[in-house]
Amino acid sequence: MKILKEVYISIEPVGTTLIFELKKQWKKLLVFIGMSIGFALLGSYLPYLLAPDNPLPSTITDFIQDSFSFITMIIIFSTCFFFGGIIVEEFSERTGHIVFPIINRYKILFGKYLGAFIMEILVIAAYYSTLMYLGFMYYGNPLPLRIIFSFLMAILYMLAVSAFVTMFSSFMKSISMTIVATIMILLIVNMMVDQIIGLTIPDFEQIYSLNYMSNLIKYVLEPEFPKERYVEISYGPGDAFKTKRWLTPTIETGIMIALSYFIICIIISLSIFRRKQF
Amino acid sequence: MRKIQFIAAYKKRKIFFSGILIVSIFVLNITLFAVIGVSTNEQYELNIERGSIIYEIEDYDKNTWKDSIGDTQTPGDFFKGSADDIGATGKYLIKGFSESKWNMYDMLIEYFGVLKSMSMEDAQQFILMANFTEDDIINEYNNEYKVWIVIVAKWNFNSDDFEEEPDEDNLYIPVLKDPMQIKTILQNYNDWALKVKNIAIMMNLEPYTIFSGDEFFWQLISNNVPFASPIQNYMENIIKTLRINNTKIDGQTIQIEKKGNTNYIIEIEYNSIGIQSKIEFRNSENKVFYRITSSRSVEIALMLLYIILIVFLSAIVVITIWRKKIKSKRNALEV
Repeated sequence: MKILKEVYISIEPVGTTLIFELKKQWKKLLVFIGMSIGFALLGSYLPYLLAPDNPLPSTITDFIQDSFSFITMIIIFSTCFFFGGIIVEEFSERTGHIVFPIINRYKILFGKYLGAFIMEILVIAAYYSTLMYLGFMYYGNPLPLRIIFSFLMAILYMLAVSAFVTMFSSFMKSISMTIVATIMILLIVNMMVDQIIGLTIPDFEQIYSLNYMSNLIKYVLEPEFPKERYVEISYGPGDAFKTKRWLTPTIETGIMIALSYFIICIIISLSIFRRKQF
Repeated sequence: MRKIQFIAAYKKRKIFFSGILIVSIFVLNITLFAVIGVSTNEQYELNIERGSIIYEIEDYDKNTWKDSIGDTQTPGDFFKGSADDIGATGKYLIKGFSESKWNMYDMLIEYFGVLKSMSMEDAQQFILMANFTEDDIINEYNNEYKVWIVIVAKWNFNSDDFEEEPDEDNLYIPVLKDPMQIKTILQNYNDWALKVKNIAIMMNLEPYTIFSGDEFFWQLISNNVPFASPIQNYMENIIKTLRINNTKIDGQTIQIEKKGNTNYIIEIEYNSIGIQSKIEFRNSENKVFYRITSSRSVEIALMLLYIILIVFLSAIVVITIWRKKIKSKRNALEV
């Protein structure tokens, strides 16, 4: 009983921070849920609303895959907004100077991270729920169970992106700078680097790239996971030049990429967080 | 001061509820109009909707079937797949729709399935021997037909869950804007089928069937071709122009009298979008011995949306009242 009480006392600040985070960010959460539903409708509903002769795909899997055009964008934007201030806010608000109550800074960080993570899952769940609802509306039962794997991959991708943003939040000086920098890196720089490497070293599978890992969200939905994970593209006069476009990593590689990003970025951000003075 | 606060709070709540109401109306509006494609011309309109219609075999009395229709035909001959298993389900997915003008060549290919069942080699040989090119057919039969095209995928009746891929995909089903033109189409087809009969026999192929009005109408019914609205008027015109004697229409329901071992009736009900919703086979004593019912995924989804919205709005109202009560209690305590 005593042990349980001690455990409760040690966990309580995490729970309090988590609830505080949820209360503080609920408006942001509503906005992102709205955006998530809006983008899901934009990708999977408007094309058929505006063009009646645009036929639906033959299978529900194809329909959901076609509707994934905005999922990575939603994940990147919401993660940057939810996690952007996770560490930098503590320093800019000088919460370390609060004399009472004294709470372990790691417990605060963990509570905030957990709170933001839950909100982020809700945002992605709203996107998936909208797609599943539309899928059911058009195709009826049964909905493919593989959509759960896709959802899990989206969460894994989000975990990696959240750690990446947290790392930036640990050494940046303001929230807005963190958000702008991470969005730029994840959306533009990452894509550009992938393009350059894809063109210069086409045989090299881009296992360093979070962007490449995110393709799993779509490809894990395939009834049979593709065996040939790249397409060869010929171009130039007489198709003289050839290049490869990598479609997706294997499931194991994808999980490894995401976990590597998560572990490395969290270690870096925790070490910076520990050394940084309020 | 308190009055001003009360008015401000009242205004805020009013704006909040108005916002929710507008969003709800907007969402429902979009939902309704995304699935319903209303296409109009002078006389008829096609109220087709994107979405699935799930058919289920609800009743099958084997003995009465044998007594009325006979041993030679089973439900599988009328409807594709395991249509003789009670509980088996089939699916009809409306993928999209558009308007177009079709010539007789298009009709022969899509409506009558010419070339579809042939191998590539047979098809090439048939095209050469029967002069079956678009130009030749248009020269011979130069009518043009205004149609709505409904793009459909079908899953045949199956006792298990539906396969991912449909059994028949991208079927372009034409719905004539002028139902009276169906007679010309049938006459042209029969004329053409008669002309190519010898060629088909020479190639060891099954000659194309020459259809009577009744048979052709049954083809339309068994392929679940959608009908334009008003359905009663549209079907009456088809029946009149094809001179069909064995069919009666009552509202959205048609009754086709057939003869097997004894006389029996096939009763087909059409829903608001012009697709079959219920099929019943009745014997001479008016006893139902085979029944197919249907449900539409769009209707279920809309019902679900209504429930979600009602629960959501109720929750907001309850929370608001609850918060208001707490606030008034606090105010009372402060006073």
